[in-house]
Amino acid sequence: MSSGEVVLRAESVSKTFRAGRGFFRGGGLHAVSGFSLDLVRERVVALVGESGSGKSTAARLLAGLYAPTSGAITLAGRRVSVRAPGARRRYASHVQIVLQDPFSSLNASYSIRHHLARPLLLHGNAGSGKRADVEARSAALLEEVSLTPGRDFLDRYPHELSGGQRQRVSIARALAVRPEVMLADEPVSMLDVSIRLGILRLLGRLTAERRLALLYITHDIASARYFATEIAVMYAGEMVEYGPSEDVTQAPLHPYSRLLVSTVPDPDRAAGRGSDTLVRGEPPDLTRRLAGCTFAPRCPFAMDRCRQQAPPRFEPSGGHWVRCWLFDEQEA
Amino acid sequence: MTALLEVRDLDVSYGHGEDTLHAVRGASFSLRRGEIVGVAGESGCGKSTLAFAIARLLRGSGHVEGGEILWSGRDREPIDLATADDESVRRVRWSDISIVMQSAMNAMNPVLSLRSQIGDVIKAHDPAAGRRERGRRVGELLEMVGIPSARGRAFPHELSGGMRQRAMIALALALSPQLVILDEPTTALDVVMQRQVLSELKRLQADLGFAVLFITHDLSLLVEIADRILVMYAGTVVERADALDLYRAPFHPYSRGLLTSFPKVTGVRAELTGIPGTPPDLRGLPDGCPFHPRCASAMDECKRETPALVPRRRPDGEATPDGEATQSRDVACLLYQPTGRAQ
Ligand SMILES: Nc1ncnc2c1ncn2[C@@H]1O[C@H](COP(=O)(O)OP(=O)(O)OP(=O)(O)O)[C@@H](O)[C@H]1O
Ligand SMILES: Nc1ncnc2c1ncn2[C@@H]1O[C@H](COP(=O)(O)OP(=O)(O)OP(=O)(O)O)[C@@H](O)[C@H]1O
Ligand SMILES: [Mg+2]
Ligand SMILES: [Mg+2]
Repeated sequence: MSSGEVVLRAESVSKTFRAGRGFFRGGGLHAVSGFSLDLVRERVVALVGESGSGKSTAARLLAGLYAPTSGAITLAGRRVSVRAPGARRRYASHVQIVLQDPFSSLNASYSIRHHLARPLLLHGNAGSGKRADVEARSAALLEEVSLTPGRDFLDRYPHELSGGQRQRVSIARALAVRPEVMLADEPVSMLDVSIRLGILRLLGRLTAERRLALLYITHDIASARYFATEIAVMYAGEMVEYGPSEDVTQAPLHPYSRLLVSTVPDPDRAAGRGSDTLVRGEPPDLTRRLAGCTFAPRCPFAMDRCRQQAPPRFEPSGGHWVRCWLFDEQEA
Repeated sequence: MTALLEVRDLDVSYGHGEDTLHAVRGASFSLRRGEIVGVAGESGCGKSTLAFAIARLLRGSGHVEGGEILWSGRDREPIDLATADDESVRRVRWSDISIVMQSAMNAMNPVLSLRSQIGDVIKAHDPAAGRRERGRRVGELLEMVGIPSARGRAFPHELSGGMRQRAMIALALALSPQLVILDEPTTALDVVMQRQVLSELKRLQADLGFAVLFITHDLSLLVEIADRILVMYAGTVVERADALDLYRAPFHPYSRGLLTSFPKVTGVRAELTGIPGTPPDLRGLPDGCPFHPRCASAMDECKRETPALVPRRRPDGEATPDGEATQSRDVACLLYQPTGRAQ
């Protein structure tokens, strides 16, 4: 897939949720299917895709928060299992996740100081471990994510922070661990462009300096273009396209990716308001497995074959692949 | 036409005494029936606080210190939501104002299915609706925001972040309010879904004529959907303009910074600059204009004088492309005030 040192690898990982109350007809809900991805040192992979397409589930699988229904996740070549006592903390010292919802990811009963001191001490990044040292490091982390003056935030509680401020505390907390892999699920979705840029630059710098591997889940495709080395596009639990970020944004292949890129808000379009090409369509039903391509029911280019047979990967140009029959050279 | 909502010189703080944090300072704006007003600004600048104050849902030590929030709902005398008694506010909030909070993803009852939560709210507002009718409306609402109605059986933890967010939007629109306050409603939505939800919002708004206060950090989104935009910085409104005017010619240096730091998905990959400096410390704002330490156009006066929000044209007399539309432009910046020197 890509050269460089692979730290975390997902090999054909699937996650099917089965509800106890038996309301998913048949075999449950297929949130993620056949997900393969390499996270490589010093590289940023952006995961974009439809709301409900399985991005957070994929991140949670990689973080060891969910056990895969099938497939394997390996950290530096070793199969990941977080069942054994102590294994979770050990894993967390390598792989950190920033959860999507900043309103539920911080513990309401602890101060920001506690949120940062705990990982610093637990993972041995607190220097001498003395109070003053921990405090200085915590404040420095907060300033890195533009919470200034950092010390002012230490004794606040999560409910005393704005949405974007909580997001930044979550990022600072993950950084406190000095992980090798960071899985960031919509980490800057509540931040304005200016602060967002600062945080993305910080993460970009850390990927280089600390040789971090980063998964960046986002709906902001423009930021993915600027910030990620590769972009993976998800639809209905499957990765449908993968490639260098500039290629995927400038020449998207999959019809869903094309739709996504062409729908990015563009104020220039506002002049001709009301003329937006509306792309309504049936949301995919994840409780049913389709014989063909998952996007076919909404795809303007769908052919008979698309409804009958799931497309394999086609790689029309180096390192940029797509799962779509339109790119089958044999047919063309 | 009288305004549906008129906010005048609103001051909102958290805490008391030395530790007071002035989150909203002297905010003024009005909202007419059927209008979409957007609020943009940096994280922590007071956008949610403004929304909470209007809905009288301030949390913790938050309180209104001054100003008025005049509400002129249907068939009612205008009331000041800042000072009215709880009972009258509650009535207005339930029947006239609905709010989708920024924490919407986390705001559902974890032990009730999506369907029962929405059904319960419909029941509370419209007790006459039978079970069948309720079920039908729940299904309709979910489909409107792109959730298959069969998923109504799911519990909140079984939904993705964006699905929870969409469910809350559907709920807010279900109650035919006169004002819908949406606080960062689309942070978990892909752009395709975002567009679908926003066009539903616009469609319903055209049918029902409610007003929308749309809060987001995403100025490019606001330019597309809002009629007018308020740009906030450090708790104050620093610019107020028609959406397209603001996009074409932002006056305030902060608005300009916001609009030029957007990465573009198409075209050349330009270098992004952002806005230099760090977000202000709301407990210790500098004297003068709160933006001056970060402002490239700052003059000496800016360190001493706090600019008021007043109607202004550009100092060089140049009008924006839509000449007459600029009448409604207000900006709080000395560059545009008689005392200020043009650069
Ligand atoms: N614990 C769970 N039990 C049952 N179904 C679940 C669970 N978690 C997620 N799902 C379902 O799996 C699918 C994928 O969800 P996921 O949260 O991974 O999507 P996502 O791509 O992160 O979406 P968003 O952009 O809206 O956050 C959704 O249909 C969701 O309802
Ligand atoms: N309950 C509270 N107690 C003390 N301070 C608070 C409280 N809630 C918010 N604040 C502070 O008030 C300021 C304004 O917060 P607010 O939530 O209104 O910001 P916002 O503009 O909505 O930001 P974001 O875009 O990040 O959501 C912030 O500096 C925040 O830390
Ligand atoms: Mg998600
Ligand atoms: Mg907010």
